Amino acid sequence: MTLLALETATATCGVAVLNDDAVVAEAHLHRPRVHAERLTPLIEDVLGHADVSTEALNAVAVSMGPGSYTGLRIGTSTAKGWALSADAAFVGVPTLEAYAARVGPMAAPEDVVCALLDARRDEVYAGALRRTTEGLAEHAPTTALPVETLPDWLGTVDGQLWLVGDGAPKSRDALADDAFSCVTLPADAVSPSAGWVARRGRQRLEAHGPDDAATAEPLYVKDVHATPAPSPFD
Amino acid sequence: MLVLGIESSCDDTAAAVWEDGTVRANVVSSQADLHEEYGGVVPELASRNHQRLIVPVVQRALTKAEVDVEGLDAVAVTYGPGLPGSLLVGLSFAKAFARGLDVPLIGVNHLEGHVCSVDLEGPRPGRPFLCLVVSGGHTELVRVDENAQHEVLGRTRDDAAGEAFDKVAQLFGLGYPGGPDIDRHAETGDPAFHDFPRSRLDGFDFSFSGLKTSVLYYLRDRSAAERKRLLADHLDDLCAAVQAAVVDVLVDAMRRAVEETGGEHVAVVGGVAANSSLRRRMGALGREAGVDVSVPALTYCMDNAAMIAQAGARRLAAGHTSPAALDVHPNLQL
Amino acid sequence: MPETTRSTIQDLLPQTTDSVKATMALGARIVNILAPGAVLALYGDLGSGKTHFAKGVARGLGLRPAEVRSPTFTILSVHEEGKHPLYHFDAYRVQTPDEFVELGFETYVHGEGITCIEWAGRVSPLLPPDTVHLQFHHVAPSRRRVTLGAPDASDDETSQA
Repeated sequence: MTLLALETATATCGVAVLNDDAVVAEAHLHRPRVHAERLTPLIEDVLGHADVSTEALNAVAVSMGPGSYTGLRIGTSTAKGWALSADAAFVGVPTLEAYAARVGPMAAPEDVVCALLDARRDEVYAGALRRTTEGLAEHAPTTALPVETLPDWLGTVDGQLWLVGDGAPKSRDALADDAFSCVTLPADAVSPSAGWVARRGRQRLEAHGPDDAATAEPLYVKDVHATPAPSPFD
Repeated sequence: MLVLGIESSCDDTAAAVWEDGTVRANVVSSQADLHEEYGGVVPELASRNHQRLIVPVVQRALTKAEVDVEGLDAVAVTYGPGLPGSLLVGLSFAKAFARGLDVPLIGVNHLEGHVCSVDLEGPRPGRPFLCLVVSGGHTELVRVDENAQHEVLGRTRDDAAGEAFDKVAQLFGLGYPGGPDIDRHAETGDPAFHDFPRSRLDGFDFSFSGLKTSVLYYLRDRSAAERKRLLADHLDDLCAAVQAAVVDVLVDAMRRAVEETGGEHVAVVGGVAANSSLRRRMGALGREAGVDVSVPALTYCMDNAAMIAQAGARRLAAGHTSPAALDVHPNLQL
Repeated sequence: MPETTRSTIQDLLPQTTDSVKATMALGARIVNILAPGAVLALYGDLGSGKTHFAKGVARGLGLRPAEVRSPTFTILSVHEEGKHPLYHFDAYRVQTPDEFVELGFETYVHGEGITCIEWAGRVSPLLPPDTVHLQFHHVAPSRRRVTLGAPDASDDETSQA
């Protein structure tokens, strides 16, 4: 299988190509607000370095969120464009699943990896995977929540708790409890990775088949609660 | 040449297939119903809807045109002006789609698309022509020459003409977009019911914010009960009076532009060009002044992707293509 | 913001303006006593003079006022040709402060330019502590009163559901 993977949910703009079982090329920029301009040229570069032609692509995986709405718009519509023109399968990967999976190889069985993205004010986007003897399993579902409710959402952690992401620093105090033995990984050293979107994307394809590019939507997590524009007579 | 056009600058998701001057498919999925209850476009909702609609709309256009993606020669897409989030969905998709097919990408200025909408059907206006671009977001008077170069003669300094209709419609308790509702009510109203101000600036610039403020004062100087009665008894008259104020200003500017430039061909494009009074009055101006008047069919007045494909094909023929690094330009001008 | 700047603004306000020109002149005067990085939060009804004030700010920065329109649809327009950049925001159509953040609001307010926000009540959680709050009131068809200070939370635009 030849799979193209995109990660644009945060300030990281990443592209990876997976060929058979291995990620053979990947590139990341860690700069906010350049994704619209740089993503497509970066894809062309990475495909070129992987010596993969468009016709050879079987699948396109994209990080679906939560994250920056702008980043998700760019990544999702770009992935749809490639999937449709290359006649490739489309597969959405939850951002925090791919991010937590990046830390998976460092964790021991019963450890929990919690990926946290800053969602402004006192909130974070959070998702957690638990290391099992077979691999990784969901420990707590992706959500947006105030940091003080993190312990309830996490529940019991038997092993070590790994925190990763730009939401980790502000979450630490809420988790500085005897119930958790925490390791925090710095977000700039362990950033969201297109390579891990590729690996999780391939797993999802094998387990559940492709998603429908026509109906796929980012995981915004937060709804838009629209209110009418202000009344002119008050 | 077979061109796929994509347009997502505001609240309509659109795709079209264009072949050598013929529109083979023109698909528009409007979100107006969704935004109506908020009295205008909610940017985040619009962006999310474009994401939901982009693939189905493109697929429908290709199916209707009975075209295989491999047959496409180019992809033309709006890159501005417009809502940043909305533009990003169409542009990101189009860039990837064009690269995936290995065909040229052509970024198109939405306003240039509107100007090109007069060439989609019927007799093409002679060159040079004076073109009034009027919509919810824009009011510009431009001179278009043989090489499709635009010289901007004037533009609005505040609200667009369509925005004035939207805001007044909100004051009148009408729906969004305001233009069609005002047009419908005005049909049976008396335009002389009240004299709303017509602002005339030096040169060909426009200003519509004074009209909005004047309507606001006209209504808020009354008690709520009085206001309610006035709107119940004279809504049609008020709509006619407001419409006359907007149309007078637009027609007057075009008349002066014809006199000053000696132009022989004029055109009105954009959503407000669907206004029945503006179409009638421009027709009358044409007869009085002895100039040809072109106004696109209603379908092509509204935002659509056929005009984007048309403009893109012309750009491509002139040797222009866009780089893969093309970004959105929400405040792009002509 | 230094105390001296704040007291100068207090010398200018409240003020009643008798014409569009006077509202613009006030904008031009105020911007001249502000330092780069300043944030002006404008509150007031439709047609109360916010945009004309912003046009005055533009003129004070050496920009052409005719080029400045309230970015109701695009939310942000950036004008970089003046003495300092002008970041002109319009929150009228904004539903959540997050939409502002996505457009880079936080980098603009701490940047090199002057930030002007119309309908600022819709994004009040994002406004920095040193924001200059200005309220615009209709007095008569061509008369406006401009006062210093944010509106009470009770008549905050965001609370009018």
